[in-house]
Amino acid sequence: MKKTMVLVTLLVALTTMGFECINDPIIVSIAMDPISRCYNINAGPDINYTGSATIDPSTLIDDSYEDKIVDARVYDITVQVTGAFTGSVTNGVVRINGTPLLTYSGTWADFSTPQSLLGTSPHVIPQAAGIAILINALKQKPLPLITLSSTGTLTGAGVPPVPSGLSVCASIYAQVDGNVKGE
Amino acid sequence: MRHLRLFLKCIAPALFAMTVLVDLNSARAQSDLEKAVKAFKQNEVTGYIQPMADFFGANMSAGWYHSAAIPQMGFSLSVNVIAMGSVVGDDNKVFTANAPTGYNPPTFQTATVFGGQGGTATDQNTGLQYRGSDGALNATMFPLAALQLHIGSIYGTEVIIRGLPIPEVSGAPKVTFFGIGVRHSISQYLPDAPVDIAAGIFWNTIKFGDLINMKSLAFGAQASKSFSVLEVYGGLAYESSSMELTYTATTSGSPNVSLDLDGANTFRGTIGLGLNLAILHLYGDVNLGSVTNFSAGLGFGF
Repeated sequence: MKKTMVLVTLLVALTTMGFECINDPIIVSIAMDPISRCYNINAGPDINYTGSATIDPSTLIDDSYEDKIVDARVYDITVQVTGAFTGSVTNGVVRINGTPLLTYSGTWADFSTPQSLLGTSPHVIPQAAGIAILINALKQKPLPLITLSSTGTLTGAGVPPVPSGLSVCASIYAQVDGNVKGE
Repeated sequence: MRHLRLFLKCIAPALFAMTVLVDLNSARAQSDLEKAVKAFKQNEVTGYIQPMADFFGANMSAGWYHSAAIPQMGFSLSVNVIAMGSVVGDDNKVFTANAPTGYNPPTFQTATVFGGQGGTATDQNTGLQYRGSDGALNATMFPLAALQLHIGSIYGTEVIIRGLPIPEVSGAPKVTFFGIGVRHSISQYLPDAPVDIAAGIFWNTIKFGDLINMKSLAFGAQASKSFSVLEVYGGLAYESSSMELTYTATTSGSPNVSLDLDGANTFRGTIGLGLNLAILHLYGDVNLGSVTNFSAGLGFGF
């Protein structure tokens, strides 16, 4: 009988002990869909180009994370061009809310494949101020609209006139951290 | 001692859940663990979740027996509450993940589902960073529990049925567990054998939340010998297990995830000790294989 009581007591003790086997917080790092825009370069006499687009970052992340974001980071930015052109692009700038995020320059052919901040490409240079603005924006609740713009100048290959069918695309790869512990 | 403490700490809620809390707390749509897993794309989730496949597989094939003595004929019945736990080692808490294309170095160490904070990949050329997710479970023992019924015996054969619906508790998903096994006395054919011998085959299925389905199959031989109220038992078994993982990822690109992961254990050796007090049976064993596993139980029966 004494042994039975001991066993019953043991079971009661087992069932009343705390359960702390789930981490708190649980920070999951989510890759957003790329913040990406392409800007068409107008054909004609103007060798300078500019383009701008407003982006809603909340559309680039699963709804379930929008109010759980605690941190954000940019893990790559790429620039790529499309269209046939044998000249170069100079003074290229990608801006976030008007602040330079990245500068780029090189021959048009250099950018026919995406030029990434990663690796050793001499054609793209990140700008800390713009990256800070983007990260700050991605940490706000609710996520604010952001404006992504690009400017630059075409040189060589007989411009002007600028041939038709040219465009520049910038893609920002960002990751946000969300705490999924509890609701 | 630390393992024992955490074993008790983590097994307890499962026992509590199965005996008291059925259907309570089941309204939460998604557990914390499920939300953490769904943050991974198909090509990223394997390293994160693999230890869970290993531990589930090891747990599911544990606790099927605590004696090899099976009467040749006559009605026998016992009801058992069994807890199993697999040891979560430090090597189960981190895995090597791929950094984004172009990162130098191309891989980094980060947390599995049993890990702590996620690791960070830092590109040596640019200083850009990419982070892995945190682990979701803080445990050095991964538990499972079952109610188990042994019914026999006809020509030295008994049937074992186990199962348990565990509701979602403290962020761990709802678990539906069912298993069935058959054991047959070998020693009835070996009357001079100094120990009782039996052979058995055991099958389990577990649905863990909405994402995970596990299946396992084990077969092997067992032996036991009684010394008054004490009984020493052990066995060898071949086993296989697989985890089917299906969900829609909440991260960018390739949202539909569907993959199968095999559990690490393929062979186990078991050694255990039981205490038989009339209709009360208390027993515990250690299972050695790729995964180290413990099981313990309390049974009432004859």
